[in-house]
Amino acid sequence: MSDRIGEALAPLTAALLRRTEREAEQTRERAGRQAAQTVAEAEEGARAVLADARARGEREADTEAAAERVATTRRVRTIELTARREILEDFRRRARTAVTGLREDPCYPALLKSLGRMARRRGGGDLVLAEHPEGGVVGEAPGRRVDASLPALAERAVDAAQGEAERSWLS
Amino acid sequence: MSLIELEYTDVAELRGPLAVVRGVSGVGWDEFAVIRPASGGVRHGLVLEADRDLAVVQVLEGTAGMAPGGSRVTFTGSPLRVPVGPGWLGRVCGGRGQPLDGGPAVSGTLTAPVNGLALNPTRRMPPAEPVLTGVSAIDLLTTLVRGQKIALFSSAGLPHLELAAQIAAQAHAAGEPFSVVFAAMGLTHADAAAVRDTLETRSAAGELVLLLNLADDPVIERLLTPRIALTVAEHLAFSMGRHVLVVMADMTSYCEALREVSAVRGEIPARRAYPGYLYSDLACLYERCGRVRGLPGSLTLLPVLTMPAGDVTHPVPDLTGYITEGQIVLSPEIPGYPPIDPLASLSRLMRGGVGAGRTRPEHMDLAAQLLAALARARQAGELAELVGASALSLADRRYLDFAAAFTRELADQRGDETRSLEETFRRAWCVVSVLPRRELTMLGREALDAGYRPAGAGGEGQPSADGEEP
Repeated sequence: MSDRIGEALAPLTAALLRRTEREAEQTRERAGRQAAQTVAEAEEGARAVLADARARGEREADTEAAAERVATTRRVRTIELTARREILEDFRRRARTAVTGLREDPCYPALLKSLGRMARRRGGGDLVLAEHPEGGVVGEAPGRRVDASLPALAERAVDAAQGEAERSWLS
Repeated sequence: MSLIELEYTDVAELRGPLAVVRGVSGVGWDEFAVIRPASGGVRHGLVLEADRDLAVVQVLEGTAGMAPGGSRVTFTGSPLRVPVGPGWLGRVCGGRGQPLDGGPAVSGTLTAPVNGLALNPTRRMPPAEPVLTGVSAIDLLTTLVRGQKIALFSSAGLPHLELAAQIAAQAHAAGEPFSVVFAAMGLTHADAAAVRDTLETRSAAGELVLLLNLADDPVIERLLTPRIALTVAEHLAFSMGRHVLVVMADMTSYCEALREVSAVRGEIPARRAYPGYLYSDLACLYERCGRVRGLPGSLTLLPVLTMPAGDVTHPVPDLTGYITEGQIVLSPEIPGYPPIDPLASLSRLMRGGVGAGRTRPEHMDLAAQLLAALARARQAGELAELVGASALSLADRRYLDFAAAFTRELADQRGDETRSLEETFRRAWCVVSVLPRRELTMLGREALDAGYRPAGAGGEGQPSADGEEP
């Protein structure tokens, strides 16, 4: 009896089995596809994160490199400009020493007289003239003063010649 | 100044930044003075008033630490003159021209009065040829033209100084000799340091003169800073044949200094307490730029103004707007950097600087088309705020897409990014191609065939069905 029932149900069982297997296969395929898609998406995401991180890192590195370049450029420029200033200061010191050395020159008394005349021409005839300790004359009157001392004249002469010095740096 | 100087020693009074000198003769208004206080050092001043034997001198460094007795004042016999020439290039100086970079004082074999003169109108040539800034929104829509004066209008809190520094760092004249003079006025120390950093490379290349008047520097020095900048620039441009861009930031600080000095002089105040001559004073500065017939160089001027409370009717932007030939407007409503409002900005002389042989043949038409489309997009955006974007027509939604693409692809730019003209045009065509081809009525067929490239089109310049269909 049970054999007959079994035989009668055999096609059904086989059909059910085939269907179940087919469905299982489809599920397996779908799961495989989904898994592949998930993996692909994950890989894509990972690549994007990596690319983003790389871009950010490159940007940061660029910024740091630019800042370092700016700092280096400024250091180099400062060294060059400081050297120029020191040369000028040295020139100023030498000019001052050379000019004050005129006190030992035999022509110094004539120079003093000449400076006195020039000072009076500039500041008025009522200036009271006195010799400056470092050479040259200083004239004073109420409310006015004329400094024709040798150090002051040296300073102004160097100021006037500074443009020429600048030209030599730029050429 | 002669080698033998006359010094006045009768300083009758010191009041605030003013020194009253008695017993002077032959001293004139605006004459420059050198002051040697008894305490040592050297200060500088300008004659504010001269009456008979009295001279009122405004001491630039202030009179703190000075005593009337023992101070000596020498008048130079003329308004302030500065040395001019290539010695300025690559230097960083204070607002009075004093070195801040560790170098010697700038000198030259020639000097020029800082007050200068406006260009002779009969010798003036119309501005022509572009100054390219490397900023897409400016180069494409409000192109700077050599010899033009165009203002940058901004409000507090916007990155106008960053943009001005970026322009100063990047601008060029397509391979011709080019220099920048940057006059910074009333800047904080932090802002000044940022500007210096941005401009360091250009400075090291010997293409930049940087004058820094800081917020805590004397206000009268601030009046000298733009004048010194222009004097230096005029020589670089018209005697040395360079194309020079002068950036003045911030002119509102300058005008406030002018107001302060005017009050000290006891002048009658006019609108918002600015002196009545504010307009002519600004014109005296702005009209020094241009191109001169028979001379190769040019002087282009970019004054930066912060509008107090964003008020465009404030005397400073108002009067500036009368003189300048256009404006670049920064707006807090615009997202991203630089926040340039293209619909409020205008370069009146742009036509003379763009087109075939200068930038690109389709430049004017493309700029006009972009502005027209942005205006339409703004209307669509306002409508969308009322009814929602989904209720808009398809065409209006495309305009909104266009506006988003404009901001994303073209207007938005990094502060350290220099865009070539080719790159700017490539992006502009990408942006304009968001719209259907039939909407682009301001562009000629030839330009469209060459440049229109809708998304998904197979070949370059080939309109697709998508491009034709809204």
